[in-house]
Amino acid sequence: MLKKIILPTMLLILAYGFWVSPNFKAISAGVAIFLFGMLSLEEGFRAFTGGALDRLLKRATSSTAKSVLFGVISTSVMQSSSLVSVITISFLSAGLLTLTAGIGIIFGANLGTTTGAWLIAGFGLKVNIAAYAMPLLVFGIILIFQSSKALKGVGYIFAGLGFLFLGIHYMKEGFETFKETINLAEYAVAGYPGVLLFTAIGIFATVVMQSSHATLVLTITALAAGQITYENALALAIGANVGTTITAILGAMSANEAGKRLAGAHLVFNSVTGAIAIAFIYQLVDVVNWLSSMVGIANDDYTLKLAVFHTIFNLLGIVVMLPLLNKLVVWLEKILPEKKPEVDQPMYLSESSAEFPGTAVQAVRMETERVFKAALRIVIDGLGMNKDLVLSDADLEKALEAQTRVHQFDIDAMYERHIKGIYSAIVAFISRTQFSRRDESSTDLQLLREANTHLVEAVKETEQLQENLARYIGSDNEIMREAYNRLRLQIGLVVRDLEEMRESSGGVLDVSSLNALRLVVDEDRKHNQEALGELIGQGTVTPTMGSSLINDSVFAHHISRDLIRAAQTLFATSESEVTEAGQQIELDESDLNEIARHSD
Amino acid sequence: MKRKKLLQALSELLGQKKSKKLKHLDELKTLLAKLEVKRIELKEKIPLEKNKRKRKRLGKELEVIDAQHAKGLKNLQKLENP
Repeated sequence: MLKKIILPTMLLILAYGFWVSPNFKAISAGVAIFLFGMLSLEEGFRAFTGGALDRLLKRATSSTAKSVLFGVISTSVMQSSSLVSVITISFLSAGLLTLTAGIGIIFGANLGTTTGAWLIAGFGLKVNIAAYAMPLLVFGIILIFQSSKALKGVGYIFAGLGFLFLGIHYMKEGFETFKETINLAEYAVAGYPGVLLFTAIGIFATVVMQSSHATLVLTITALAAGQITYENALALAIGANVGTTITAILGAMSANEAGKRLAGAHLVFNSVTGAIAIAFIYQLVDVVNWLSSMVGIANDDYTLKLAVFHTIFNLLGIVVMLPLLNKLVVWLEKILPEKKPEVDQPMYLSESSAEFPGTAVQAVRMETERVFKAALRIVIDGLGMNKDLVLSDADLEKALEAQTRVHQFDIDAMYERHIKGIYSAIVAFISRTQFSRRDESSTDLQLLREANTHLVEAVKETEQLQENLARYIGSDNEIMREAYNRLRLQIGLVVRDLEEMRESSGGVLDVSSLNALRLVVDEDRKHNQEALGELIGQGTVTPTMGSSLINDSVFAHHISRDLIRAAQTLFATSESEVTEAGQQIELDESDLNEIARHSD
Repeated sequence: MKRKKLLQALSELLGQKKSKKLKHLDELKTLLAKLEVKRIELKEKIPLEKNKRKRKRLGKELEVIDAQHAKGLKNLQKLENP
């Protein structure tokens, strides 16, 4: 509810601001262009992730000192601590980095981000930065249109820098003219109340803009125009540092526990650093003054002094926090423990069941039945069908036709949750038990393993089919909708047939019934191919749609066949298993193909 | 004495073999009879089935049973007239 109100309110306030003050409009446009530049820059560097950047990250984080240094350098180059944080979180989530190395990078990124303040204060305000923006934008946009990924990446970086410079220019201009009409410095608050108030404003601005860099640029440009006092600007810089953790926190929300711990470390580091900076702000100002005079910064060059302050308090944070790094890691691991994923585990595969061939086969059979049930469920849900409807006598064709959209159910997640754990355990169990048994049980175990493989394949094929199915069921193209509905109807009916056959025969299936179902499925496939050939021949569907349908009808056929095969191993009884004579009436693959040929 | 024992063992073996073959033939004949019964049942069942898909499936099952019966019969003939 609150979320729904915040955005329109913010837009209204901004619109009112634009109406009453053209300067406010210029400053806001500057911030917007600057943020857009940041996005472009991130996009550009993202083009190089997965390659050189990743390799560098791996090599450069073998020790804490190296990690910190890497954080400093990478953030200085990319001018985005957010991008470095997000890459670090993804590396950590993938298990390619240790939490200690990840935290080291974050510490370094905080120091690296201060180079932005130096660049703006030392270069951005003293040079006509807009003059550099234009060529960068032109070159950048030309490169963005290139097909090469690397050139595109360079293009985004150039355009990003161009927009950053342009944004700074607009902010500078806005504040310059602003001071002629209104003096914001009159609203300055002195002493600790001012420090706390402006720290809070800095946090708020950074949370809203999702960029400490933007807050810092805004602060420096306002400071250069004399719109805020030096003391309040320092507080804003502290606030920006604390507020920037929100990006990492938001990024970690979708990450695993390791990512969340890293975001936690970021929050702790920046909060502690901020608290130290607030507590010792006047002492730090003295240090800044002393250092500035040492390196030749003029006493009234407050923008550069702000950059010095920003660097010093981040450096101080590292000095204080680095010795506590291991304790921080232990604490984070304690408060954010590794959550065990909710994965279905085997129920019957115990050490005792592995002791005897009979019990081993029975245990694997019962587990495979669980996999069978889960696979049927995933296939039904994955193709946007209703389980109760599929397993009833209702007119499935009509029900599917009436459906106008298919929810894209996360098949992979369901596979991980309901099948993978049991399947892996079955494979491991069979490998453990088979070596000493050269009897019937060993063959049964192999057949059961194959049945599991068929079920897993059926699930994976459903995943392949799902994307196009969801697209075309929800489309206005009636022919494609009909074709995809036919594919899922055929699968749905196979599931219905299998369950119906099991129910009517007390859970035991007749091989001849399953062979009959297989022949029906093969015939369906033939009809699909013929219908498809006609559609392509008539030009009713485009070649792209046609090729999608060809591929997907193969997937659909495989799903049905895999389910039937698994059911055959699991639930069918055959005379051939009982007697030698039975083998002489059993039909093999060539016999079934012969029947199919005769049916034509 | 040894020769006598050997002949006895041989005749036992031949007798056993013969009975095993006969047993196999009997089993095959029983299966064929079962298939025949199933075929008759299916032939009666198919026209009564209202559901089109089920009818189609039962029709295919009849084809499967026919093929099994033909295969069994062929094997039976081979066994009877080797």
